[in-house]
Amino acid sequence: MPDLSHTTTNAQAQNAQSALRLLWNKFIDNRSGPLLIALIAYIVIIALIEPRFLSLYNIRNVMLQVSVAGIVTIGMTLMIIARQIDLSVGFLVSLAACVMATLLNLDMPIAVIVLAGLTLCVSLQALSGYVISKLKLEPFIVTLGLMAIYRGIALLMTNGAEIPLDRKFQALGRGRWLEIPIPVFIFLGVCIIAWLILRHTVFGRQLYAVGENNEAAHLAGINVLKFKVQVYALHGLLVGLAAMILMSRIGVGSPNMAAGLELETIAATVVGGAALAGGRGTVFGSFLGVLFLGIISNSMNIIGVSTFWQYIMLGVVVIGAVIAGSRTKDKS
Amino acid sequence: MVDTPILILRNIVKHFGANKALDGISFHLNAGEVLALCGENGAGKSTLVKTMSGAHAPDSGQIVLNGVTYPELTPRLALEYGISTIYQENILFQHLKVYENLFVGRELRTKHGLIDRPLMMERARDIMKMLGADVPIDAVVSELGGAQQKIVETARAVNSDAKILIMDEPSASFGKHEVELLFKVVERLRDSGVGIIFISHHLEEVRRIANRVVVLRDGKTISDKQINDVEEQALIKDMIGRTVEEVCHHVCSTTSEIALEIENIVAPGVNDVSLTLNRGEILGLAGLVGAGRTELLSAIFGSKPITSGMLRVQGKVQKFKSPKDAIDAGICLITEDRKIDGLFLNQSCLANIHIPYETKRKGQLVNWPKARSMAKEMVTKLRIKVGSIEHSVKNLSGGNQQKVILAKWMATHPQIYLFDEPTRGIDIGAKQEVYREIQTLIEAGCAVLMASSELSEVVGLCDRVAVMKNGQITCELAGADISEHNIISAAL
Repeated sequence: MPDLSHTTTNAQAQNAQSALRLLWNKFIDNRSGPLLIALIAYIVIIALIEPRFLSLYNIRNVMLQVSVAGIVTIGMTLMIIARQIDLSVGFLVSLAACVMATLLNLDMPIAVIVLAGLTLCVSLQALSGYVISKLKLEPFIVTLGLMAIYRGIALLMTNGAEIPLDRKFQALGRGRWLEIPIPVFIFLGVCIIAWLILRHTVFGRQLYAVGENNEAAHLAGINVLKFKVQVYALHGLLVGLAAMILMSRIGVGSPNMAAGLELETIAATVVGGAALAGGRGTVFGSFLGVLFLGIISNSMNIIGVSTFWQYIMLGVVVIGAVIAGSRTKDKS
Repeated sequence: MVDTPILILRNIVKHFGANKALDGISFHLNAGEVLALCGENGAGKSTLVKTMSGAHAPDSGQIVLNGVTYPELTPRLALEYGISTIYQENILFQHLKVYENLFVGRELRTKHGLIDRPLMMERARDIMKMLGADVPIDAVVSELGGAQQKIVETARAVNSDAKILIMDEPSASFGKHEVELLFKVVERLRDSGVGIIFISHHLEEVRRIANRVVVLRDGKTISDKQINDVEEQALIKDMIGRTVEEVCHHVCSTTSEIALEIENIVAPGVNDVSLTLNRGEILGLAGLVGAGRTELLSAIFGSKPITSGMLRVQGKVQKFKSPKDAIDAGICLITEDRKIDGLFLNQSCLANIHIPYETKRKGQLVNWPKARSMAKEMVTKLRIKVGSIEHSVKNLSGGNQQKVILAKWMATHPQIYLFDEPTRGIDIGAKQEVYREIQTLIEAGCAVLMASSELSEVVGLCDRVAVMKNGQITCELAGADISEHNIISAAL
């Protein structure tokens, strides 16, 4: 009998092991693997220096802080896989928040405000996607221009001042469920849906194809123009969602509230293993990337490193990840 | 000068891990001769080229240069002895002028240290004259044709005092006329005493230009013969290790049902072309490079707009706005350059095979088990040599890559296959397999329109041949009239 039970546990252990391996292979490619290990190592080191880092309060804090950037990072990941880039996200978030805050102060119903914010972001993104693809323009330059335009419009609209929400529209950004902030649920939900889309839909598979080789994708029967407009629109939807959450969380709409978000999200995407050359990137990698950048800034605050050093650390991680990525050979 | 070995290789062996790339290569090169190096993909040609240019150090063996024996070469040593290599890929600076390209890295200077353009242009002109080449030295390289660009690369080698010139498939993408341009230059160079190693898949070209031919197989030297002593069949046998009855063996299965009919098509590069293609038929499109064959295929496939004319598929009038429409109507196009617009190089075999299928199917969700089993079935059916369907296609040989492209289209079950250079850059064994697949397609009732610059395959494979010139069909050949002679005379 003891022998038998021993074999059973052994078999169970083996089963568990193979299940774990299956899970590992499913989520983790040869790029996100090392990143996950680096992230865990970093967490262990920081926790040894400052145990408060692993407190429930702080974990919740980190997750809340990365949620907005995380949602936009997922959009940026779609864009970068499709060999596009969007420098306008930061000021589009700000512009959308200003518009929504203005509407809110006119006592519009929540549904109208939500719809207005999402429609604004989706349509602006879809339009820029159409122009960029139709005229074969460089997305980097066009979105650089749009960044300035959105910023200007938001400043004109608000006269450069913040628009307070007067405690309205708070549930989305400040609410909690089971002690976990609502934005964290939304972020995780976005990740799961994006993963499903990339993995299990034809759209997702075509995304990699279009990003890797536009001409070959066109010749394979993909309507590349329509496809890219869809990618921009989907990205716009996530930007609108992020704008809503951010506005709700900080309680104001301001023309500068998300300045720098484009760099943060591009950095997170690239740390996560996506290639600016297109055709490569994963949701899981980008999730780890944005988490890593968020944890760095949070942990440095906790152990009392100045913000100035944080910038340097951030840069080191981004460049380090790119070097590590260039050293990893493709599976073959 | 003749029969003085300037380069001798003795028993060169090179391993990559457990893989033996070179397994005792021995041959020599004389001054003033063209030595053809033939072999299938994977025979060791590329590794050998890199050994001679000093990029790879052999594990054992000797390299004798001008009587001095070396265990290995370095790039610097190779350069000092005047070993120049022209790789398959063009390495010219496309935005610079021809003479600037000749002097990149060793610009001539005036006594004030400034660039001496007049002197550089004069030297460049001298070199072109010596090569007997008609290439404008102040043209920007990107404006030149493929053959002219290879000539510029050759001139660059001459400018660096090359004694030994290695040309790795220099004419892989050229039409007959361009090949001839390049060969005239090669002959001049040979007569001036340079030893030339010429690597090519094209046996016709080898026969045309080489004095001697060395065949490699599995990293070994199989034969070393004077070109006059060697039969083409024997050469093929040396290369693939077995006899092949004919270059391709064709059984006619043409039906009277019309698959594709085009009338008075006008499109960029195509000027008033009419054709009919029957089910079960292989119609060849011959002609020089630039005759409008690729343009015609693109127009039919909807990837280039048609200005006027009519297109009927299975009797139905069609207007294709994009390749998508053509694919939906049961047409597919295997493009000329698989790496540029045929494959998603970094993606897996699986992804490459199932994307057109999923796109055509217009479903929203991927059925992974089905996609996998379909890809596996294709891999087995076409004998694609790949470790796993999850592996990226980047590392496959040209022949296997071409089969992946064939597989991805076969998965969409088209009725009409448009091939643009179906066997470019793939070895003889893989060519035979592609020919067999084309034969299987027409036996199943598909129709094939095939543009090819390789006359042997046009003659051997096609039921009818349309010869194009300046965007028009100048002549249609059928049956016994299909011969290399008739095609060439119609194309020129």
